[in-house]
Amino acid sequence: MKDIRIPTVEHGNKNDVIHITPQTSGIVRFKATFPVSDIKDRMLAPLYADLIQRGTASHSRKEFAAAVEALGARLDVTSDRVGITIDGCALAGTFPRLLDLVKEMLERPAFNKKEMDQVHKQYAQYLHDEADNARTQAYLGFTQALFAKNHPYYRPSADTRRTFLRSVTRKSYLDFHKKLFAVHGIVSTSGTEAHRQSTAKLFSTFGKTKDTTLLAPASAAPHATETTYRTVHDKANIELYIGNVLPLTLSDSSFLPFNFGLQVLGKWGGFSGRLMSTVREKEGLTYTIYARTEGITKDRLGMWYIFTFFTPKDLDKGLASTKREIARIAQKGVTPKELTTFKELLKNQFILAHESDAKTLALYHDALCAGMTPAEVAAQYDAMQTLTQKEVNAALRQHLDPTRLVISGAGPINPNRKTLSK
Amino acid sequence: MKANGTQKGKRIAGFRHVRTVQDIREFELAANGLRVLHMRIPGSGTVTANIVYLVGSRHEERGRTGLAHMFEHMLFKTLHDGTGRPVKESGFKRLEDAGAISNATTWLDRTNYFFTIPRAYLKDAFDYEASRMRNLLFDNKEFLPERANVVSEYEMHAGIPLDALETAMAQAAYVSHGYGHDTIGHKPDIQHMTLDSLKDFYDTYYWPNNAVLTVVGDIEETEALRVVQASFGSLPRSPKPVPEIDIIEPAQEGERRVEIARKNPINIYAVGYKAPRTRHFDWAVMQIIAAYLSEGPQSRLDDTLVDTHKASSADCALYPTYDEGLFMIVAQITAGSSHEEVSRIIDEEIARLAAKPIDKKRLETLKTMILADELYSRDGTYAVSRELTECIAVGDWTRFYTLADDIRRVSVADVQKTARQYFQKNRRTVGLFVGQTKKT
Repeated sequence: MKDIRIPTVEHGNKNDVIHITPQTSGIVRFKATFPVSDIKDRMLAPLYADLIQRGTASHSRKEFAAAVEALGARLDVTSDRVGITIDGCALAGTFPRLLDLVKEMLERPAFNKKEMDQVHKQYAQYLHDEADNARTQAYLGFTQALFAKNHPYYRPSADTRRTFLRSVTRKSYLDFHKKLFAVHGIVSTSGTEAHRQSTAKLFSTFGKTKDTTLLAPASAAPHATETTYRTVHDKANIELYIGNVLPLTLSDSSFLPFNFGLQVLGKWGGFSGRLMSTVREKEGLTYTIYARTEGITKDRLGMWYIFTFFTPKDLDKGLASTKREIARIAQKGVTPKELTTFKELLKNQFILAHESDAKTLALYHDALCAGMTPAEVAAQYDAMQTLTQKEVNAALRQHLDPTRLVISGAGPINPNRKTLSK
Repeated sequence: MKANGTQKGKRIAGFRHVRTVQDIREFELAANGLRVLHMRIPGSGTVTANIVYLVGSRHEERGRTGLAHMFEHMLFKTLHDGTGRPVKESGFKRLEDAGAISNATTWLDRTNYFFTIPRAYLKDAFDYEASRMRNLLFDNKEFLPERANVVSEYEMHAGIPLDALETAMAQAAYVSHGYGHDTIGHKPDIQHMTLDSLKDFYDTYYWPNNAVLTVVGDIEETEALRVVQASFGSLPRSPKPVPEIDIIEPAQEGERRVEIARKNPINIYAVGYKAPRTRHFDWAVMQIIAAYLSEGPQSRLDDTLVDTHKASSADCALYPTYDEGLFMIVAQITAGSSHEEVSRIIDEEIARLAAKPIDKKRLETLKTMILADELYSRDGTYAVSRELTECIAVGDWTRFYTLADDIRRVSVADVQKTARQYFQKNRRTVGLFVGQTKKT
């Protein structure tokens, strides 16, 4: 890792700021994330992300969009599991004017009634269409089986979100906005030092000393075996999430070896994982089968899962093969060869994560959102190089329990079936 | 655009310097006609090695569709050592285990295979690419499970309403041309594909003189070419000329329509117009039109369909193509609207484009947006390679640069003229995805 320049982080009393020197000069990028935790706020977040971009006190939605477009800039506000993220990109010459527009958007949002109605109508349509997305349905079922309703990772049903939507007023947005920008945020920039300063200055208007209650650990424990399914018509495949709660945070010493072992089982992307080389390559049962952890931060536990899909005809065989591979790695662990191979693989993946400016920015920004500084990210990759087979296998034995699997499926499943396969 | 034949690369033994355009230099490996494009992006220690074969689904015959795409899968299988004996440990496994980001993609006019790797692995990547170009082991033990995987991939796409509709529309839009079938192929063709047909296809198209290698990243040109020479230099040219497929699509005599009805909650209206080739100036104009119609809150379709809640989304798509592809307009219809209403509004917008010049200031903003987006999207070695791949596939890699020049030249009159020329009934295919409206 000696050739990689690890960015520094400035822990401000308003926000934490990461700065990256880009490979491509003349283009400036930034990301700013403000966490959202409360369950109702999480349901409001996607609506807010849309509405805040729909005009300010002095510019209508179209005028505001025209001002951004005239700069040739990109500005986007999105919501995800962490919170609200503002993402911007501009040429160096127009970047100060983009920041002026961001400032206007954050300081004087319109939350116009007509735009709000529009957002609500579109969201209602989205909820309607979501019923056709088998992958989303399987994921919803999975998080609902794993977490209690008040847990931040529980994804409410479309009906719950529809009911919530009806209760949302302009005041809901005003309150959310006030609350959101009183939260300690994560700001990352890729550009010159002057760009870092101007971006940090803008966001320092918002944010405050870290509120530790906001991202307080939420409790959850691994579940006993459970199978849940939803019928989605006219699909050829049954989409599946197979996994459980992972009662570890990034601070736990078991996390690194567990995650290492999980990558051996089903590294996301490519063919290196055991699942792709057996269930897909040898047995031809699916096109995609990968494993990952999700939602783990320094303070918060999350989940591990395998994502795949099978045709109804191959469902039983596919599930049996997947369970066999889980049991095999949980009981016998990784081999010395796999240990060596994956150390090299993960080291190089870290290098490749710096292949573009956007990827580099995302790597460190997302890590800091999970509580890890750039130096800690680099240290984690270094620590992987010293993991032993014993450590990895012990972590797998402890946390990958083949007798306790939550399976959520969605697709062309007979609604009268008692289980996924029968 | 400036060609320079006197650069240092010309002196590299075994290569002919073809041309230099801005940051990219093109060479040809004299031994076998392999073309090489090199672009240096210093700083990251990484390289994307990408090989583009000039064969895509356009080149497939009736009844043998899906062959080009099947290679996207099969070229990751076992290779032989040149004498027919299987090689146990493939180069791919070594690269994957080294953390390489790799994949392959197939499209209408080309198939590409790429590795993004730390610079030190470039020789491994090229050795592997050279090896799989001619040494694929054809074995049913590997082919039959992979064929099943491709059927699974087919099913995955077929289950997505828009994918299914676009496939049906292409089938209606093209009677003779290879753009009339989806890249993955027809399901029965995939299910009945044989090793013999695969081998025949491989021996027709997988040769160095039908490929372009791009090397983009943190590596000096001399070093990159040295490695290319060492890995690919011994491969022979194709024994026969690689066939050129030049199908002229019969003239369309009126609008064509297709409909898919399923038990989904989704309803889609789409219309596709035969568009100019990407090499043509009018393709740049069509890019402007696509942005004018559907890019951002200022766009016409956002105004007339999304803001009025007749559609939850309305988008235009214009894919780069060697021959005349489709300019697609797709709207996802809301529960309170109908295919007829959305169709009428889109037709009105299209007619307006042909009847009235667009605002000059708006045109300039669209150009600024498109040109800036182009710069943002060329971030890193992989992104540049991906874009070069499409430019190679449309028949002129310098489109990587010249498209921006064309965009800058587009006038208000060009927009009106192009709309009149291409948005005609006898160039269009309408597609309806009719879902079951149900309360969820």
